[in-house]
Amino acid sequence: MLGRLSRLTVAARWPMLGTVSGIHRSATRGSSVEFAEYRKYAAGDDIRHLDWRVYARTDRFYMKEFEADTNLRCWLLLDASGSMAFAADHGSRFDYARRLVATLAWLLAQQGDAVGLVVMSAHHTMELPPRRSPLHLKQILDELRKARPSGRTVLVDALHTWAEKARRRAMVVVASDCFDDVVALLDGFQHLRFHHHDVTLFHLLDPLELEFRFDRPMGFRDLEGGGDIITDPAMMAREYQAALDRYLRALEHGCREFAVDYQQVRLDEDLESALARWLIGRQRTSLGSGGP
Amino acid sequence: MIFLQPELLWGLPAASLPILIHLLNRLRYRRINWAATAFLVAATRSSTRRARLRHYLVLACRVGALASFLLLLSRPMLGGRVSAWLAGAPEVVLIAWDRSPSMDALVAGVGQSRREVAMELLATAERQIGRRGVRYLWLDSATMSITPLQTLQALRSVKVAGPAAAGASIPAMLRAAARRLADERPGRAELWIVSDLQAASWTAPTEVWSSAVAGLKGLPMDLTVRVLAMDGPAPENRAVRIQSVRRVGDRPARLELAVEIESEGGADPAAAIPVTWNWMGARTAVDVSIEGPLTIVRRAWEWPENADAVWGGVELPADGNVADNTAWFAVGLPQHARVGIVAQDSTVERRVQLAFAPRPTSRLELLRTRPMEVTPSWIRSLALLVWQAPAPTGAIAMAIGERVAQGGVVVWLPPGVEELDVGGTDGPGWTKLEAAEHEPWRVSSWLETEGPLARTLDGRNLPLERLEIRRRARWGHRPGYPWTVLAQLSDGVAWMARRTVGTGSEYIVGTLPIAEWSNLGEEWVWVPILQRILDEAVRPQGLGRSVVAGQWKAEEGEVWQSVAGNFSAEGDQAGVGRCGERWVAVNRPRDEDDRRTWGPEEVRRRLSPLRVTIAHVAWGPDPSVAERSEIWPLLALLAMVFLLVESALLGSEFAPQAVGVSARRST
Repeated sequence: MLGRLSRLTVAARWPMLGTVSGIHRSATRGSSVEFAEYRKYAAGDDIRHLDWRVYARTDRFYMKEFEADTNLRCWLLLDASGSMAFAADHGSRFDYARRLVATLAWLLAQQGDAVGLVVMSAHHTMELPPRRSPLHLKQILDELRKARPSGRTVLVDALHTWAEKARRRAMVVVASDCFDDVVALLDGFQHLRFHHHDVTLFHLLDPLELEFRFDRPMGFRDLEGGGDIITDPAMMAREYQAALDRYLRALEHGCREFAVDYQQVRLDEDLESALARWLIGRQRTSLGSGGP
Repeated sequence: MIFLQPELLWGLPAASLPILIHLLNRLRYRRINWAATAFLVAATRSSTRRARLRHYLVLACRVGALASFLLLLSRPMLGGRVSAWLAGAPEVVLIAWDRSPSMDALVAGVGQSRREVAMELLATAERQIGRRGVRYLWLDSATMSITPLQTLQALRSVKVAGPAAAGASIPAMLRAAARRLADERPGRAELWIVSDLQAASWTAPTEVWSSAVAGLKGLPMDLTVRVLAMDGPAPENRAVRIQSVRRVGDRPARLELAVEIESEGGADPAAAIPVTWNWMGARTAVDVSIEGPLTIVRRAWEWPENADAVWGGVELPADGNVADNTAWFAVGLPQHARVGIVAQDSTVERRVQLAFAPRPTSRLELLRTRPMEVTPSWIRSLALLVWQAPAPTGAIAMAIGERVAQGGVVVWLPPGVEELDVGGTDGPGWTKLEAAEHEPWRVSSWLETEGPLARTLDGRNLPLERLEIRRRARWGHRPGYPWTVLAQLSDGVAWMARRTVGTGSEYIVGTLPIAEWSNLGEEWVWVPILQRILDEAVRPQGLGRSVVAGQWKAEEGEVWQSVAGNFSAEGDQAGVGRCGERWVAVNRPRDEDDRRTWGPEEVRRRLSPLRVTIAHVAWGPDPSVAERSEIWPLLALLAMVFLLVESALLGSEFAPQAVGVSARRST
């Protein structure tokens, strides 16, 4: 899978601010061969960038500017709340999320980008700042292996925290079930976008949660410690579906409004195809994009 | 509500199976760790009440459907105000009350007669229907009178509901009911026929039934016929009836009596029972050995000197039906009687004359005349008329009809070939003459228990099988002119028949006693037949006579007193009555002892196309079943409604929902 995915590039949708040269466009002008724009000469400008041909034609000084290529810094935010431990016929949601984050980390490291990891849970938040070294990738994978889902979700707080903490323009990838207040969630995403981060949300949902098909009374035990609900699902399926639909529509609409890349992933979907779909979509949207 | 299969009600708890399954399912719920609890809570908060209500409705529908089905199997019968409401209360209820003797048969295990049980049923029915706005008309089978009743609660004190010896004719009652209802003109009426469905009460020619039913069908009202069938197993019973009674010999004369004792319904066919003989008021109890289902017992008394008439009877101990335990007779000295012979054929005239040769003890006058010379006054003076001529018309026909109604007897013999009164409305209604092509016709069956073809006192049959009939005349049935066939030929064609009109009779014979027609003229059949008919014609002329209940009634101004039994001047009770020097013995009709009954299908067929419901009494301690009707169609409908509602509720629950969740979306 990694071999096949490595043919694709994890592309940022907008210019990034990196520390070293890379494959992503930089928010600043640089020395690549890609022409960016003309601007009037100002005192102190490096005259090496003066376009003498324009001066010959117009008798005016114009500076010729080129695109700068840089690397990107990517924050991988993994929700490790109790609800991520949900597991049905298609395996655990947290395992799926871990594999997704690990694959992304490997891909980014392969293309020379700096990858950081944040594992968010109510009990413990683990943070590895973005780095480019191979050793760092190993650390990320070790942390992912050690992570266990538990406690209430702290995704909203984490979004705000990292929006403030990662002030430099970066790619932020969130893997979560997003079972939280939609308005607060969107507020967190808006905060990230305010700092020009390129935000992607992998919304991981199990088919059982989406379809709610049960043929007998069930005792639902809340994974985040909210108590048990014993009921006949047939009696409430319609209302459950309606509430879920309202929530999904609100979340999707909010993400679109704040230019968050929303990716709903069913756990019965192959991870490779889910990532390939996202990567291809990325490549398409990154071409010719002007900026955030 | 009562149930015909109450044992099936034990299965009713099974109707709670859906609830039990529901509870078991709730107990056997499966646990699951769940993440999207917020949506569960929201769904529970917003709609659990409605969903729960729907779920409980589904459960209720299932329970209802099961309960309806189980109730349906137990065959409930609904009565009371609910059924009255369902059916709509009638304005008029006309009760055709069969009070013939067979209705006095005891109901096994109840200790009451069918008539008494029926009274209680009617009282219960009235209580359940409610009296408001319902008028009850009581049609009594014995007197055919219709009496308005305020209530059905005290029928035991109503005379026209009491026992009677007279038989019942249901078709005649229906005609009377139709006439009365036509006068009453209610918007909605019900005709309740209370009867034991005894064939003797229901049997009538097809045209009589058609006429009766058409009369009811043509009524301008909403009419429902309800038959309260009081049929059931025959009780252990013995019936007694007079087979023959005659005065024989002279100085000293004797009265010879033969009675039949019939055992039925499990009564011991071989036992000694005490029989009480009544001879002119003197009662003697004698044990009589019963030998088989039909025992003939004979008894003779010396005719008292100077007595112009004698009377007596026989009584059996009380058993399953007290109404058939007595038989009465009254016999008078032969009186002066005139017999008229109207014959076209001189040979026939001579044969008749010879058969009526006067006996030493009788005062008989034979009068012969030609058809053209007959006058109404001459007819009125006769006790017996033998008519072998074209059917009479006009005043002569009317005079003959009147004479018969007053007790006279007519014997119709076929006229000549050309004079068959095809299509005529008077007389016997000859239709066609036939000649045997090869073998002569023979009499194949005949009524040998009573009438002119009955067995002799010593139990021997008349040698009718020796009759050879080469020519015969046939007659047809006419509305209101029913003949009772007494003998029929091997091909099923009637050879001899009788019709009773008023207190008299008409006989019709399909052949002539002359050689071209048959060997009837030979004395061994012809003479006994005519002598017996003569006896029947002459007997009422005397001071003592026996009549059938319902066919005799005291003339106006006559004062009759009862000397034995329950005699009444109305002639509807059995017993012996006296008016001056005259004595009358009244007995129930012979066919009342015939226990054959009609089945419900036959009743429905005869009453078709009327709207008929038949309720059979389930003999038992709760007689209130009779006025109820089965409601299984209602329950079947109810079960279907439950299932339909359940499927509708489930349909709404599992209908495709416009949730619109897409599995893969991206911004």
